[in-house]
Amino acid sequence: MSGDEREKRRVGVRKNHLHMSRAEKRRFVNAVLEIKRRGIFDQFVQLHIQINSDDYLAKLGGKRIGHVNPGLFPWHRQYLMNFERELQKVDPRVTLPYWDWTTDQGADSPLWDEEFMGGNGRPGDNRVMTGPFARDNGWKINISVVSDGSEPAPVNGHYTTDDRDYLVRDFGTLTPNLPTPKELQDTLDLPVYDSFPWNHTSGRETPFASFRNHLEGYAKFPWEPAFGKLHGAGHVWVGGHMMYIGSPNDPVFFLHHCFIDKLWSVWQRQHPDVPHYLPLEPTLDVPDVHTKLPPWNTLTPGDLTDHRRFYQYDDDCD
Amino acid sequence: MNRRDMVKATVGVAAAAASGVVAFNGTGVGARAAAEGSGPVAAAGPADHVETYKGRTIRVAATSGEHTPVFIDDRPLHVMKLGENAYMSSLCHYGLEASPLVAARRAVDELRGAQLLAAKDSGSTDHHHAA
Repeated sequence: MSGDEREKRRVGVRKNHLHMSRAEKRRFVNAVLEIKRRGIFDQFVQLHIQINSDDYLAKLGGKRIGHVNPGLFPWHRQYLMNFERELQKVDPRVTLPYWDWTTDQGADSPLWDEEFMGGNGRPGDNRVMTGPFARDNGWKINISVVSDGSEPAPVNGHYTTDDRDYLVRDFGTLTPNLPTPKELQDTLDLPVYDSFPWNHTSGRETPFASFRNHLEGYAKFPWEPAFGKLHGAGHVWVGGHMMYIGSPNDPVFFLHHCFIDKLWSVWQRQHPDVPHYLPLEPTLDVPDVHTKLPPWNTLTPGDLTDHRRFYQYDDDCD
Repeated sequence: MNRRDMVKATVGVAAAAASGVVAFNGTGVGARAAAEGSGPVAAAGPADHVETYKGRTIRVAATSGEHTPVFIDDRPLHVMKLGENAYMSSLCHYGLEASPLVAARRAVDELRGAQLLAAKDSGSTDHHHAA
């Protein structure tokens, strides 16, 4: 076996959850439950809240890193890899599943089975009552009012923002429809990764020069009804915790963002001759291709651009 | 001091000023929380916007700065300004609202009677990034 082949075998393959066996899905859920029990899961929730908060406060001075800027895809790629690595410490066979919401829509998807993600919230308080992440089955949203730094309350180490200790979902109330394949393809067709001013307004006008902002959801085409599309629509359609700053409290976050991660790679394949990350030069407020991403400060967007260094997707073309 | 530190300092002053005056309508979970002394409450200024929405007291502080403190039943709501007419809160985090007040009303909708976590006196250590 050559070194390349050995490397390929070592690299995990991420699959559409629809193509996973019952045993594979069970192993994924069990690994999630185990890192929750160990307190590791909540550290990931906390980090997402901190980065998310800093992304806005910091726009007045330091760099925005994880959201509403070009760092969205590489930052979440490293975040997901670190999460997957923690799951693999529990069970080396586990990889992240992804949820392709362009075709896998509705509350009757196997995604929401009692053995996998569990179902919608109940009427009224929208508390999730079924599956491994229901409060009654032991999944507790940890809350914390212990200050952990000099920041204002929502930034200081909370695992959530309010006193509910149960997972909340609210399918389809705030946006009735998940994105269609055409909506996704219109965005994948955009040839420019991102552009000045590198924020929620990038690419709103012709020629729509921000694949990143269109996929994140803060830019839309004139024929599209509303902002909040694609990445945003996935968060908002699930609703409840998925729409809050502590969205990783809902484990489906990781399936949603795994699909977003995959789409960055799909876009790269569709546009082989353009820069796959921008900006290339040091730029005020946002990470450039050579910026080591906080809080880890180990990898740059350039390091993270080609996912095949780290893992594969089930439909990767070699 | 860079601009970001100035923002932090301003927030700190607001929190320090928040130790005394209680401004709530005496009903609902906010009153319970305040009565239990479970968190600091902020002093309301005369120019603040205060309204009752779905039984919850929303207060949007009058400010000329980049950061507009927003409270629901005297608990701070984290509202982020991305630009003119573009705000998001910790409870509606994947869409943009036209104003801090709209963001606060949407947060009330999402809370469904739950209570925001209280602000605590801040410590001196920096963030721990464990993940």
